[in-house]
Amino acid sequence: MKYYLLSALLAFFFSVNLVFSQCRDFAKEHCKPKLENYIHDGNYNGAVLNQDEEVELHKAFFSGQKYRVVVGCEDNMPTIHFKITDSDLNVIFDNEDSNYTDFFDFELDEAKTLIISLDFVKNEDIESEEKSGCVSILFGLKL
Amino acid sequence: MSSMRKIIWSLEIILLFNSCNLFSSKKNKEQVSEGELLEYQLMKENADKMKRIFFVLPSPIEISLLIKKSGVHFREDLLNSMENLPGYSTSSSRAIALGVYCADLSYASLNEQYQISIEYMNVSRSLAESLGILRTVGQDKVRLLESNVTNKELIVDIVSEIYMESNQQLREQDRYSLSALMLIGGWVECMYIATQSVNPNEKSHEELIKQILDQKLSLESIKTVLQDNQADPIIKPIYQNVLQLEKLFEMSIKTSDMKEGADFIDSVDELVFVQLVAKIGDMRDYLVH
Repeated sequence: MKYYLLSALLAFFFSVNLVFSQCRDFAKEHCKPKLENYIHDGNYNGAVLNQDEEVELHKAFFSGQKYRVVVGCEDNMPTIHFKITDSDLNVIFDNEDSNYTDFFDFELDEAKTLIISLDFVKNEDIESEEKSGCVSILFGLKL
Repeated sequence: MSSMRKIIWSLEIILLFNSCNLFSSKKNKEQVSEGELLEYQLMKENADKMKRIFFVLPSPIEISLLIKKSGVHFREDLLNSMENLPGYSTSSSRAIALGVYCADLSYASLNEQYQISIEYMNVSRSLAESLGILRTVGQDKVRLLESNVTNKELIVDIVSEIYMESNQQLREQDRYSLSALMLIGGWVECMYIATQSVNPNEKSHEELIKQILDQKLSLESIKTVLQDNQADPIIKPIYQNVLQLEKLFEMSIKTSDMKEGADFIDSVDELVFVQLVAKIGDMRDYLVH
């Protein structure tokens, strides 16, 4: 009885940590290099996302600083759609208008809270794609 | 026995399903703080979708970079002394200190203080290890650093890894209040360095004053991180202080009697700004001692 309980708890612990660290490694190995000559700010924003889910990040950005936003998802997931709006929902960037590029560079005249929303492009051929996978959004700073 | 076995396996399946949502710091309920109109528009737009909402704090690297770009000189006396290290004996004080030392490390490395950076890097890694955080920096980078101790980009990249690994591993271990303490420690230390570097009467410090007051925008994320962990007896007074700080931020900018075309510095209420500086000093004292 004790062993069943122990094995259940161990299975839970390892499965959760495995998924966590897999996504973190994915962000470091696949998304961070896309920051190129921008330095990663040290924040990790990652999640396992289902195809019908959406992620939204709220973050303050400051004037006098050049930023790069990089988004990434695992292979076999649909293309990522991401959009940056201000708090009045004015669209600042939508990658749908830029061939679904996975990064955006910008600098603001005044400090603002921006909302970065991310979802997957709808695809009819979902048989070949996974239902869920790691996604991450990283921010880079120009030194 | 058989029914007990079923219960255990059911529990395991439920836990595994729940684990898929552990990444999410907040769900739709947090839209309440965004205002009714925004909430309505967002809900309407996303009615058929599950949405995960994250609030992101500026990292110590980001704020330190803003301080550096404002043109003020590096001051070693503002760093939290490494002599304080033996006093951090609890997990909470170590998590706070880790955030504080990461901020000091960011500030020193961006100001090309290489010897101090290496010393604070060792302190940060040692603190992280004492909290059960493993492999904060890859061995390949440690080796690279040994032969490139004056490579600023490499040092800042290592700082970014220490910060990310420490915070994320604490979250992965379900130690959310320690993760929150680390984040708040880093933010307060950066604000302490910025506010102690500034002279409100000095015209050349206008840019830094503006950067300090722009940090008002970070309070929404800070409150969210702290709100989630308010049951923690160490976090509760910090949260109360943040609410008081929010009021001082709001009062720092004069809303009336402003002439058209006046400089930004003329809009700053100097008396309130001095109170804000003192408040941040008090918060920093509470965190590091």
